[in-house]
Amino acid sequence: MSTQSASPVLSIKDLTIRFKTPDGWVKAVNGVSLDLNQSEILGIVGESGSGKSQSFMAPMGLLADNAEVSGQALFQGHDLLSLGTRELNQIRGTKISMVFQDPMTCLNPYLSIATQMMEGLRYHNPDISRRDAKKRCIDMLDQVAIPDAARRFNQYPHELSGGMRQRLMIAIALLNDPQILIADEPTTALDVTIQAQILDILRALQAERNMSIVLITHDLGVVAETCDRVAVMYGGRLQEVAPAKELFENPQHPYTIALMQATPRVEADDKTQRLAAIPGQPPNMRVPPPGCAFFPRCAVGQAQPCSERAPELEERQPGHSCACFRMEAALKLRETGHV
Amino acid sequence: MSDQSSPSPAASEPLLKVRGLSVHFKQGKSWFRTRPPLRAVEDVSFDLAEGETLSIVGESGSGKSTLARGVLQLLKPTKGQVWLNGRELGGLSPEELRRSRKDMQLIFQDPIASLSPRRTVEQIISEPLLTHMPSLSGKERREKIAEVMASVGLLPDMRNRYPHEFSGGQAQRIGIARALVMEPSLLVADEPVSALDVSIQAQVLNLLADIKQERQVSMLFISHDLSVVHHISDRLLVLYLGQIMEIGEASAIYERPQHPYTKVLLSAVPRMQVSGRETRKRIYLKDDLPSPSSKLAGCPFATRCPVATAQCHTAKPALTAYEGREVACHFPGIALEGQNAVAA
Repeated sequence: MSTQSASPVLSIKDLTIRFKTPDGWVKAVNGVSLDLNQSEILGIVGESGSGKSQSFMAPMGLLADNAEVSGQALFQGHDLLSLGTRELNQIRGTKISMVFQDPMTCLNPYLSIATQMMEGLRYHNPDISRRDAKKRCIDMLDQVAIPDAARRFNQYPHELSGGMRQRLMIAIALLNDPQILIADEPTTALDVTIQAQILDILRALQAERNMSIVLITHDLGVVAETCDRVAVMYGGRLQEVAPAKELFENPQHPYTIALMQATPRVEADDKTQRLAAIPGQPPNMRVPPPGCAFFPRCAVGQAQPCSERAPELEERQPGHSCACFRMEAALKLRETGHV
Repeated sequence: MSDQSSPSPAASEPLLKVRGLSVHFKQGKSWFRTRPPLRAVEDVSFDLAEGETLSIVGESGSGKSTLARGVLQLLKPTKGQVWLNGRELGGLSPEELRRSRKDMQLIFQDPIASLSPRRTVEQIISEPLLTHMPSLSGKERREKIAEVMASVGLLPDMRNRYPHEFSGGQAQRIGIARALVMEPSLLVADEPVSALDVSIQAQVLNLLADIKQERQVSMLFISHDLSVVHHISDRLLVLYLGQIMEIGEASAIYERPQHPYTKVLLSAVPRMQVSGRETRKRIYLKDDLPSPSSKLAGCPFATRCPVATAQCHTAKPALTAYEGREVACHFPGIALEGQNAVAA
C-alpha cells in the first residue's frame, strides 16, 4: 500500500526530550531517529510512559514548558525543533495536523461547529470567501461520513455523539489538506463499533489524499488493522521498526514478542492457556536502567551486556530494525507462546 | 477456604439468581412536562452458578455497571428480585443487607481512585474485617491480611505503604485483596483491567483466573473489551440499552454469534493480524447508542440494526432458546453484509 519515495516527509534525528521536575530530570525520549515516508500510515506503539506521544508533540511545539529538547525534526527543509512560534504556525494546522484522544477537550463547547471549522480554514487561507469556506467545510464533513452535514454544520459539539465528535476533529484536521496527520490515540475513548469505522475512514482518506499518517496507540490490534509500518517504543527508545505485516509475523525484539503474547486475542481458540504476562513494572524514567530499558523484565536478557549499555537500533533485514543484544535467544521465545 | 457462615443453597439453586431486574432513573421535571424515566436496565434475568464467571458486555451507556449495582443493591431496583445463596436481597432489612455484603464484593475500574489516599494498605484491607468481623483479635486480623496479600502477590513489607506509592497494577492488587479478605462467594469486577497497560493487564487477568480456580468464587465481570472477556468468561451476557440481546456459553457465542448486535460487536474487534485485513468484513452501525429514556415498542436494537424489518420496530422479541443459548431477535442467526472500506 505504501509507495516509498526516496526522501521521507518527516525525518526525526536523534530526538532526546527530558522534563525538569522537582524530583529531578525525567528522561522521556532518548535518541529517537525515525523517518515518516510519503503516503504511509506509521504506527507508534508503546505503553504509558514509553515516550510515544512526546516524540511527536516535540516537532509540533506542543511540549510542556519544563521540557528540554535536542535533536532535529526535518520537514520540507526546516528543522521544526528550531522554529519560532510564528514560523511553526505556518506549518501546524496546515501542512501537519493533529487529532487527539478526547474530542471534547479540543472542541469549544460554546462555539458552533461552523465557527470552529471556519476559524482554522480562514486563518490559513485569508482570501477564501465565506461561501467557499462553508462549502469546503460541509464537503469535509461528508467525507468523514457525518450524515446530514449541512445541518450538523450549524450545531454545537454537545449535539454530536462521541464518535461523530472524533470524526469532526478529523474533518477539522484535514480541512487544509495537510501532508501529515498525527493521530494520538484517536479511538481509545470510543466503543469498538465506532473505532472500526474511524480507522476505516482514516485509511480511506489517507489513500485518497496521498497523505502520511502517524498513528500513536497502545493497541496492537489497532496497529495491525491500520498501519503500513510500525515502530515499537519502550522506555523512551525505539526497540523495533518494521513493516506491519513483517512485525506481526516475524517479531524480533523480546519486548515486542512479550507484548504480543500478553495481549488476549478474540480469535484465540485455546483460551484456557494463561496469558504470558510480562513480570515487573515499566521503568521509572526518573532513574532509567543504565542498560537496555527492558532488561529488568526481559526473559532472555543477560547481565552482560544488557544491563550495562543500551543496544543500538540496527537494521537486520531490509526495513526491519531491532535494538537487542539477544535476538537469537529472543526468537526462541516465539516458540513458547502463541505469536 | 469456603465460607461456611452463610446458609448453603440447595444443590439445584444457582449462587446468584436475578429475575426481571429493572433499574430506572427519574429525570428532572420541567414546568411543562414530566420527562419519562431513564430505563438503564430493563427486565434482566440470569443465573450465576458457583465458581462460574459471567461477563457482561456492551457499549458505553448499555447499562453494564447499573446492572451490577442493581444486583448488589447499591442502587435500589425499580422492579425484580435478586437471590444470593437463596436469600432474596430486596426483602432484607438494611442491617441484614449490610451483613450480607461480606458475601458480595466489588472491584473497581480506577485502582488508585478507589483506594483512600490517607490509609495504608493494611488499613485499607482491614476495613471490611473491622466492619464485618469485629470480634477478630488484632493478631487474627493481621494474619488474615498477610495471607490475602500473599495470595494476590503483594509483599509483606508493602503493608505500611500508601496507595500513591504503587503503580496501577499493584494498586489493583490491593483492591482485589480488599475484596477477597472477606472470602466472598460473589465477586463483581467492573472494568478491572481497562485502566492498565497490556503487560500489567495480563498479570491481573492471570491473578483473577487463579483466584477463580483456587477459591471457587463466582464472578460477574464487566468489560467493554471483547478480547479480555473472551479470555476470562465461562458465560457471556450481551447487553444493549439495558436489555439482554444474547446470553449463553461464551465459547459458543464467540464461535457463532446469533444476534445481529453480537455479530456487529465481534466483527469490530481489531485482530492482531495484518494479512487479510483488506478483505475482512466489518459491520458498521448507524450512529451511536440512542437515548434509553424512550420506551420502545419494538426491539431496542432496531434503530441501528442493519437487517431490521417493520416487525422489529413494533414487536419486541422475547429472549428465546436458540442454538444452545438464548437470543432476543425475531431473526436469530440472520446473515449480515459486511463492509471493508467506508464509502466516502
